[in-house]
Amino acid sequence: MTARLLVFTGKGGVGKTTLALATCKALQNQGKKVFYNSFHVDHPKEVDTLGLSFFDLDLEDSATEYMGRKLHSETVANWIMKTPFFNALFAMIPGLGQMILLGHVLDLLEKDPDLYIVLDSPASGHTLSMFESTHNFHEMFKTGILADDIIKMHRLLSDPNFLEIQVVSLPTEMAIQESKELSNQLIELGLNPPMQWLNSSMIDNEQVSQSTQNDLPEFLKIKTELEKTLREQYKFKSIVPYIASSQFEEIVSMVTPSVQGAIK
Amino acid sequence: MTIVRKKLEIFCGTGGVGKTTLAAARAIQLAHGNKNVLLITIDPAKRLKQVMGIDDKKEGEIAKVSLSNFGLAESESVDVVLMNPGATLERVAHKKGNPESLDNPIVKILTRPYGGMNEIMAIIELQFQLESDHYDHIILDTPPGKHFIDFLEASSKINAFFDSSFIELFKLFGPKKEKSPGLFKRLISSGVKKLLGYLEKVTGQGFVEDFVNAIAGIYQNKDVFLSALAFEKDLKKSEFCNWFLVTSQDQIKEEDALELKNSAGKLMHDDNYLIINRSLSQALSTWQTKPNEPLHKLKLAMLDRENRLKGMENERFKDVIEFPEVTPTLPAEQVASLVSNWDSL
Repeated sequence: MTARLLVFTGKGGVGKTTLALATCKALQNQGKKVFYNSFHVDHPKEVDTLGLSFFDLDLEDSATEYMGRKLHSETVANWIMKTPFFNALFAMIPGLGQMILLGHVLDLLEKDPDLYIVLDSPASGHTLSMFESTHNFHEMFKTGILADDIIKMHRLLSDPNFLEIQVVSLPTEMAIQESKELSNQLIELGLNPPMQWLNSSMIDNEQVSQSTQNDLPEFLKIKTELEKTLREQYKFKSIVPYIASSQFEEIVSMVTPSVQGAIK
Repeated sequence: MTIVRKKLEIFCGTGGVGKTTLAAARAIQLAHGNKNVLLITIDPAKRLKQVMGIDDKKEGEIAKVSLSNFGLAESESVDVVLMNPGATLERVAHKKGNPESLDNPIVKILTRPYGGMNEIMAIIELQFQLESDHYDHIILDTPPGKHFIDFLEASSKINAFFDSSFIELFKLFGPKKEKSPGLFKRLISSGVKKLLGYLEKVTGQGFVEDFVNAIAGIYQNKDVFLSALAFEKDLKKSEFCNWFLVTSQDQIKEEDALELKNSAGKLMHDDNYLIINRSLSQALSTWQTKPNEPLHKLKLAMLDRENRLKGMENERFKDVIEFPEVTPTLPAEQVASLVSNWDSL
């Protein structure tokens, strides 16, 4: 990972938040200035307990600030955003809000060349919505200030030194299939090929790797066999082990070293 | 355990817990017995496609899937629909007899599969199917986590959109009989002129015109959109639907599931079931380890995860249903094995 905007996505429940937080931790350990943000959950308490920084992006504030800049008047922007019409419109068309938030993130990164942002984005389908929104709105606006901004947005998003998408998967056929499909759809949207992660590897689990195959109970034999086949079929460069813990913070700390290796 | 069969059954939960597969198995179980059952997924990730073996082209259409794919009678089938917002819109506009009213570039772009209107259109599709009264049971597979709450809140968003201040605005141009320029001029000459003027500054003129027409088209189909409000009321009635909160053994943050239950509980009745999927209870109880072995630590951690989920029982669920982890790797075989689990309840 070399880009300054790192977006984590993948099928639900694959460990996007775990890896996103571990990445923040790893970057912070290298002395980098990093912000964690999530478009789909409110400020997770683990951000604080892990000693990381979160930045709150409120949709309405973001949109008002943006409109204010474009119209050269904060007052007018405030008035527009307070009308019931615009409120209802934003609620009905979530893509519009997501696009404005994404634009805000890009602004922050452009202003501060030392800043890194790790974005914990929603599961596959909803991540595609977010990136497709920029194309959809471009098609709608055709020309004008917004269309120009979207073109600029696409230029930034297609720069591999700026954005790198991280697709997380589990050692199951279904999760890997979904991550492959998602990667292809992201490439079709003009983005760079995402980095593929395999999370919760039972083969790489500390306790399993210290034992022989015969020591394993039947269900773990099946799991490790299946994972072996999948790893031969799909080559993963970045593999994160299954952590024997039910404490979320502990899991994040334990996977941080595996993530550290992927950061240049 | 007896689960009373109701008109609608909703499967919700955080991501990756197995909602789609469990919902599919439940639909097959109910369809087996010659009932008319519709299985509908509103998750844009569309895992149902893999699970039920439906091809991409069928998106938005109702597909008949034979139960023989799951080791049951060839003669029986279940109807499956992978929600596509564009197809839903076309269906409702067609039923109303004015498909041209929604023939607008903005409406078309926003109702693409990833256009972001899924949750809103899902409620309209569901209400459409409920009102047609063709099915004995409808099984609903929902998007993960917060997006399920978006779905539940969709009707109030629609309502806000047709808010009274808004209605005043559209009385100005009434039904769209003539082509857009006249309509556009009338709107511009009204009080909204200033607002649209600012909008035009940033979006360009073409957009504002398309936009006004899109709103007018939606307004003409207002009653279809507002039918969603009936659904909102039905959700509060326990005789109308069953809902299952799905969790899974590999879920680390069980508090996310509880948070979902609490947010959903504000909008629905709380006569609900907790499902613990991929349960390892059985496997863990027969696994012998000694405290000095490395695997002992792994076993304890897995037991702890399992027990944390079971601890949720105290959070006022009607009942708890455990589904053991299934070993088949092929989706259809997985579903078949879950169907027998449903049967054995």
